[in-house]
Amino acid sequence: MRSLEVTARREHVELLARERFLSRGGRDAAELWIKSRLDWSGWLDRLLLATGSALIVAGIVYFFAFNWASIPAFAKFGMIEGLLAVGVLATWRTGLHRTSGKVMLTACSALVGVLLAVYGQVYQTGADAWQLFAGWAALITGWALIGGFAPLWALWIVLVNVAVYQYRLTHEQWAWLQLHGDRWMLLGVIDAVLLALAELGRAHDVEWLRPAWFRLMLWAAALAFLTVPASCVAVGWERGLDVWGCGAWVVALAAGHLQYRRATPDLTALAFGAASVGFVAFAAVLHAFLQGAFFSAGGWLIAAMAAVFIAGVLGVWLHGVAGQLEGEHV
Amino acid sequence: MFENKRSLSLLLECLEADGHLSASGRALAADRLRASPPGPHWATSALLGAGAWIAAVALLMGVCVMNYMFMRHGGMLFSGLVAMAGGLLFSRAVDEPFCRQLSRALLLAGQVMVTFGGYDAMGGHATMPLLAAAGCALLHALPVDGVSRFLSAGFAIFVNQLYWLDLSTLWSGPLVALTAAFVTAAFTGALDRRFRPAAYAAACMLPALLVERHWSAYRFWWPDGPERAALVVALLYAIGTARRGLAQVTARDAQVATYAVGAVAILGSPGLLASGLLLVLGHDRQDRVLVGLGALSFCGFLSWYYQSLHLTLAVKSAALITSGLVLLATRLYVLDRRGGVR
Repeated sequence: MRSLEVTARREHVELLARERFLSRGGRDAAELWIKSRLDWSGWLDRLLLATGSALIVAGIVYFFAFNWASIPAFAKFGMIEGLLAVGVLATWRTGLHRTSGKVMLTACSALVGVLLAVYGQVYQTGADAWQLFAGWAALITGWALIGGFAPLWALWIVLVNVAVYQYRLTHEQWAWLQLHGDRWMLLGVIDAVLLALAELGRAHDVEWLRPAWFRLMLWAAALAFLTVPASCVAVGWERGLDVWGCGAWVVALAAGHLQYRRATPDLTALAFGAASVGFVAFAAVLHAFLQGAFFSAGGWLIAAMAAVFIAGVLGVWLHGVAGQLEGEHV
Repeated sequence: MFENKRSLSLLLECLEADGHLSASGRALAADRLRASPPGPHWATSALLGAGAWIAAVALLMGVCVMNYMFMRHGGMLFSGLVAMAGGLLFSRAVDEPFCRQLSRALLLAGQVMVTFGGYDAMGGHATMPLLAAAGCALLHALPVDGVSRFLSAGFAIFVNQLYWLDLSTLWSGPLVALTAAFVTAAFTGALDRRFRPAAYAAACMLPALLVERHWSAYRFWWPDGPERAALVVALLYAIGTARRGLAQVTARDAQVATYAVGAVAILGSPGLLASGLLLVLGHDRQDRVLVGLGALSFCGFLSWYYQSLHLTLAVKSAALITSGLVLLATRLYVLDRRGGVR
């Protein structure tokens, strides 16, 4: 049962009007009631704060863009390292038990990347792109460990992903043009393992692992990467480690189902999994009926029916799961 | 303890006190609201919607392949009309995510096929934009939802831009103004509530129209002479209206605001104002789509504005920082007037 202490929205009024609880006059009155209680001052407050802050940050960026070429290397390093030192000092003074301290530590972690980029630019080190991201991730690992802050870990995970991707690009000819290659599987497995660790931490009541967006981000990334080799296998284009990638996709889906249907129910995570399954199934249908016969009207009509069938089955399943979860919460 | 002054329980209480709900009706309504959310989970809707669009695309590919052989005999035109009829049928038959999205895809594809099929059958340079506009008008006359109308308007603008290029900007400026006028009037109660779905569509069209309006000759300048006076009057009026609150806006207010918005839109710097309008409307209607559109277009127009200023980076930097400080100072002033810090 849901609480009635949630904020009343137009959708609620529409539901009541649709199901004949409210007459037209009642609907108008309810809408007027909602309108008259809108928090305009809070809205204006947020708008002014967001726009004002964004303008100031943009102004600072413009200032550096204007002067960048004429700033000597020593001053560039001085500014960035100075900011880094001030940030670390402020973090230490504030303490990592407070959100503001954690935010400052995240900002310091971002500055490390700026420092590495400027170092590469000034001394023309000739390093590959992956080395920048790998070095950046390695240097902030300690801060991520002591910070215990989901956005900082999200930054670290993105850096690791980009570093791995860039590394494979450097070592595979024309890799950016190809769907094949072990990089998708590698990235998917890395993100899946990190997700498993995050879920383990959440099971042990680690406070900073609670936000849903963190695990959904990891789950979406792992699924998206593993869906590529699975699709390649489904349409018969498998090469190299794609079969292993497909196996990893099946394992990830099974583990995800167990976790998000049974252990910690999460309909959004289940929907991600369903979307991945639907994508692979539709790719297989397209391959089966349109391979070598792109201008086959019958093939396209069968594909349309398959899309309706796949979406229908997955939708009905998700709807059923939503109902069951609702029932379990009562 | 924090009390939610906009809670569902308070709403039901007020509706009962005003005689819109009986005591038993209130209890039943409360049970209904407790039982399930107003609609399916967003992830389910998104999955079904995506499936519907993919199905529609595959279906239409099949129809196009079939039509390929007898396209010159009006096959495409006929199929387009059938697709539009199918879309209308789906939109009226069942109100659930899959049918809703399938209906949108079919209506859009139907309009595209009617436009291209009609052009192929009739020939003539101006036929295509005219057919696209006719399709758009037809969809606005039919009882379909706002998203379908928005997609239809987007297609009509695209075809128009394709064929008339710069000439289109001559009349799309007034069109922006008319759209803004319609939106303002409908949402502030000056028009009957049955026009609200159309106003929603118009509000969605606004960013597309603005982008189209400035696609080839984008210009942001501080107007001179009478234009500046019109802008100042419009802004003062907007501030005055905002102070009273949107709930108290009358039909006459809406009319005046409409003219002001229209004037400023035609004068050449409508982007930020229209984005602001979308943000206000979105918050007023508690509509996340409108708020999202407003925020996105606001960021886009603001960036575009500063990028297109003929100033050095140093002056731009100073202008940005000063503007930011002015806004933050305004915020502090407002907070001070309210007598509290959030």
